[in-house]
Parts: sequence; structure tokens; C-alpha cells
Amino acid sequence: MTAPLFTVLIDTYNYGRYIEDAVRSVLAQNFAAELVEILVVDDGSTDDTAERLKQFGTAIRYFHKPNGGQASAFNYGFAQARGEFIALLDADDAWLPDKLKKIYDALQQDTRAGMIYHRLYLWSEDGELSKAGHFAAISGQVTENHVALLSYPMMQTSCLVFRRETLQELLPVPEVLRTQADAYLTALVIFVAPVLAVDEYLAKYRVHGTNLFHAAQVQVSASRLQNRMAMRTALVVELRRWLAAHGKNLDDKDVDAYLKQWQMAQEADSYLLRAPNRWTYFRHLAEYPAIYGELMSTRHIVHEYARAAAALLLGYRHIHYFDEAMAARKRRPQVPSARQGKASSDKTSHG
Amino acid sequence: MAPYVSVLIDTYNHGRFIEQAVVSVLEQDFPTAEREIIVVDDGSTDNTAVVLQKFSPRIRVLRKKNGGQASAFNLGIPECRGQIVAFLDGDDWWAPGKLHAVSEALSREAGVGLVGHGITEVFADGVERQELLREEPRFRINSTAGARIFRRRKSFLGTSRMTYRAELLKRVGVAPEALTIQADEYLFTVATVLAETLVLREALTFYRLHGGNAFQVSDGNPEALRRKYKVLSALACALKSKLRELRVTEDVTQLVCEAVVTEANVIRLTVDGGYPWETVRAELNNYRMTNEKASLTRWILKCATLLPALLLPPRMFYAGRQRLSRNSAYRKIRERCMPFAEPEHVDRYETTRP
Repeated sequence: MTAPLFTVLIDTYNYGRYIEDAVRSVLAQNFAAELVEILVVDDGSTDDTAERLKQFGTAIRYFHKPNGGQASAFNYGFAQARGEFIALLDADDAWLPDKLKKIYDALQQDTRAGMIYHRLYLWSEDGELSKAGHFAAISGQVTENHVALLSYPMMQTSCLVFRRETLQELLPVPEVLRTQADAYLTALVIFVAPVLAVDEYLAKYRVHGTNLFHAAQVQVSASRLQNRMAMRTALVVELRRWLAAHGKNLDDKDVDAYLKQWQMAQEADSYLLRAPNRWTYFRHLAEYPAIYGELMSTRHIVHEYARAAAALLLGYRHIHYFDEAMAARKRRPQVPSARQGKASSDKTSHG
Repeated sequence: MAPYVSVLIDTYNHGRFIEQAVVSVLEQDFPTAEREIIVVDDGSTDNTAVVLQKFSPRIRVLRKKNGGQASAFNLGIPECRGQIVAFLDGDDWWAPGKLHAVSEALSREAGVGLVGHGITEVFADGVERQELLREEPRFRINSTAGARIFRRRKSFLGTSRMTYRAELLKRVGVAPEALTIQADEYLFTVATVLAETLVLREALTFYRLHGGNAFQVSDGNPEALRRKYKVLSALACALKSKLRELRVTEDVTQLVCEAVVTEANVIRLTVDGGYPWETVRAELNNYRMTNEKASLTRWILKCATLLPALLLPPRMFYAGRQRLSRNSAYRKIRERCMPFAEPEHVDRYETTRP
């Protein structure tokens, strides 16, 4: 039996109600089925996941393990994977039928890429597909380019395909990361290999109430916010550990700015738990143009500073009323700015 | 070839929890043929026996009359056939990769005799606090420096965290049966005198905090506290004579026992009282040991908070302090103005399981 080219790794925890859609979307790929193996790693689900998967028989390899979180499920799955490329799919998302073919074609063009990623539709409960998600098509050796490093986006699990040998250098994912294991991989992959962005919509990211990381507009409970913050802290600690262990200079300006994005997201989250005072919030807002100024137009920078000044005047709560009023006045889709992209993409990076 | 591993579970009336403990061992990603599971039931009076029945013959159950942790260990340890012995309490459970990680560490590090690791504390309300070490310390009680590191890091060596080479455990010998709790501390202290100890970073054990913990009785009933005081005193005595027997120098022995004695004293003063200056001395000792790098400001603050201790009878002082620490307004002020020092050696992550 020949080794498959692609291993599709689906990790799930109590997503029985969605898992069939995910598996079917892989089986429906217009790509040679004998070159694809499907692994489902069940991270200790207590729902009907196992029964729902029985119908697929030998088309999938199903593993049930004790619950240990996303990192442990990844490590488990990677150990079982036999393909040269490992494509990740979250159990609540789905791929479009062209995905593997398009990825395969892209890999024929670029034979060095260690990770390939693409755009996703946001997929609402009523089946609507929206293109509102943040995306920046950054390809090549990201660490060698200051601007690329700053605009390198955070991605969702279901758009990631890794080359096995590249992944090998990053494993094991620290098991403390019960979520954010995908962010660990995407954040570090640029330090070991070039990446490749495919600027096409090849998957659907389901937006539902129980996404662990999609909480942009809806009110999130304090405990979920705390979980998210705890895991993000752990992520940054582990990223720093890896970078230090692999001889990267943590004091390097670029690396520091790169790691800053999580600190900023962390601050933004902490403000939801406890409103900051004017001065703190002003300094937080003023930091965005200071870090990402290079990616912004002059007009944009002026706007960012003006907004920070307004926050100093109005305070954290009132600046949001002000923002809402402005948005209501405009009522047209905004071009996502680098800053908003950074801030919101982290929220949608699914853990 | 991987060494054969014995898992020793000690339990007393953990009927509600024991299943999770056993299952967590059965589900380890470790070859079944290379490990055995021995459960010592220390005379449980609840449904523990019934629960354990389900798992036979995959586990071996040794039943005995209730006699405390040391007696349970002393019965179980000689029954272990493995070259490695890993301990688990009946109310805790392991992360799936634990056995693999510790046996791998012992195979890799020939000089290490005992391996501990980080823990995840699980609170009754579902909050889980992972404690990951920032470095992986290795130490041995053969110098004052080694004893200091041991004192700072011994919380990562308790029952569900400790894994020994069997031959080292044999050299440690039997634990005094007076240690109805805290027998683990006797074992890991003596073991760290005899060989090097390594603490792994990852949190590989889930430590359940529940009303019935034998050891966590800080605000429990006076009887439990008195028992703990007695055991700690016995432990200090036992360690002192054992360390002398092993020709550990006096100052090193002092450093190791001081921590136990101070803890015992604080409990005694809380329950049975004593002279006010004893409180001050115990508290200052405690502070010096737990905050080796405290700043001058913090020392001054500490001394200021001990002024009432100079005047009040110890029992009144401790009762007052406990009441204060339960007061939410005080806690808020404390957190705002003078937060407790962040630990330097661990990263803590608090999450709630969805």
C-alpha cells in the first residue's frame, strides 16, 4: 500500500452534530481518493461522535483518546499521520470541493513551502457565506521581511496544510495549550520554512455560539474570556521558549514587535473584564500606530492617534458609544485596516 | 527496551474518585505489557472495593486494615515488581502522557533517582489551575544550596507526582508508620539525599481539591489539624534521625527540617495556642523560607502586620487573620494595593473546562 500524499487530520471534542459535514466535505473532494487518508482524533468526546462516524466505515481512521485538549489531540494525530502533507480541519468547519486540488496545484508551483494557507468564508448558522474574515496573502520567507512579519495574519485551523518535515521541527506542541495549538504552529512555522498563501476561498468557518475563539460581537462570559486569556499567556510563554531554545534573539526588534500582537490582544480582552482608566486605554490605543505604523497610510495613522486622543477625553465606555454612532452613520462595509485585522483576527483564530 | 513500571495507588474512602484515577492509568499511552497497577486499599469503609472490583484482573488490589499512608506504602512497595515505581493518590488522576514522560526521563538520566513534575489543581467549582515550571530543576540534598532548592521545589514531589527507581526506593527503606499522612514527604526527602531528583516542567497530574483532602485542612476542624500537627512533628523527628544516620551535615539537616517544624508550629499555635512571641518567630521563619528574595518594603510590611501578633494570644491572632482573609473587601484592597508576590518559578494558567 502506498503512503498517502495528504493526511487530513480532524480533531474533535463533542462536535458530534457537525462532524458528518466535515468528513463528507473531505470525501467530496475532486482529488484522487487513494492519495488522501482521513484521521479523526476524538479528544474524549462524551456525545454521539463515535456512532455518527460508524457510517463512514474504513474511509476514515478513527481514534478515541482521553481528553487532553487541542495540543494533545494534534500530537496524537501527527504521530498517526502517514501523508507527506498534513491538512487540518476542525470538526465544526468544512472544505469546499476544490480545496485539495488547488492546494496540490499551488504546491507544484512552490516546492519549498512548509505551510500553505488560504481564505475561508464565515459560515453562519442559517447557511450564509460571508467574506468578512481578515486575510493577508503573505508568502515566502516571512522572517526576512519586516513588513511581512508585521502583517502575517493569524489563521483558522481549517485553512492550514503543513509539510510533514517542516512540522517535525515544531513538534511536540506543548500540551499546556488546550486551545491555541494551531496558533503555536502558525506562529512558529515562519521561523523554519517559507509559507505560501493561496488567495482563494477554499473552506467554510462555521460561526456558532460555542466556538471557543469566535467571540467578536457576542457577549462572552467571564470564564470563557479568562480561559482565552490564560491560553494566550501560555501560548506566548511557549513561543518564547521555543524561540530561545532555537537560538532566536528575543530582544530583536522585529521578533519583539511580532510577539506584541498577542500582548495587545491580551490587553483588549482584559479590558472586557475590567474597564481600563483613560490613561491606560489611551496608551493601549496609541501603541497600534506605533507598532503597525509602517503598514498604515498617513491618514490612517492620524486617525488612529485621533481616536486614542478621543479615548483619553471620553474614556473606555464612551468611546465605544462614539464608535457605534459612527458605524451607524456610515453603515457600509469597512475596509479592514491592519490594526482591526490584527485585533479581530485573533478573535476568530479558532482554538 | 522500556523498563517495567509499577503504578502504586493508595486509597482510603475515595469511592467517588477512584474510578477516574484507575482509568487515567489504564488510558496511559504506555504499553500495557510493560506496567502493572497495584491498588492498596487502606481499609476503606465506602464503596471503594465495589468500584475496584470492576477492574480486576487488570489491577491488583491489596486490602488491609486502616493504618494510614505510611503503612499503605510499606505494604504496597515490596509488592511492586517494576524497575520504576510511580505513585498515585486515589483522589487524583494523571494526564495521558505521564508514564511515558517519567519513564523516558529516568531512562535518559542515569544519575536521577526520583522524578517529579508540575501539577494541575482542580477546584470543586471546575476551575483548573495548571502550574508549569519555568525550568526543570535537578537537585540533591548534599549541600545547603541543594537543601534550599529542595525546600522551594518539594511541592512538585508529592504522592501523585513522584516516580522512583525501585532500587532507590529500597535504599530509602520503610516509612515510620506514625506518618498516617505525609509519608510521601518522608520518602522523597530521603530519596533526594541518596540520589539526584529531577522535576519535569509539564503538569502531568490533576490534583483534586475537595472537602476530604487528608492534607489540605487549613480551615478544617481542630481534630484534623491536631492530627496534622502530630504527624508533622513525627516527620521532623524521623527525618532528623534518618538524615543524621545518612551523615548529612547538621546545617543541611536543619534547613530540611526547619520547614516541617515551622509548619507544625503554626498549626499548633492556631489550634492550641502558645506565647505571642512564638507566633512572631514562626511567621517570620515562614516568610523567610517562602520569600527568599523579598524586598525591603515587603519585609517592613510583613513586620507591621505582625505587630498584633506580639500583643494577641496566637489563637486570637490566627482566627482574626483567617476572618480577614475571607472578607472580600479586604481581599480587593489587598489585591489593589499590595498584591501577593507572583511566584518566580512557575507559570500559572487558570481555565474552566467547557
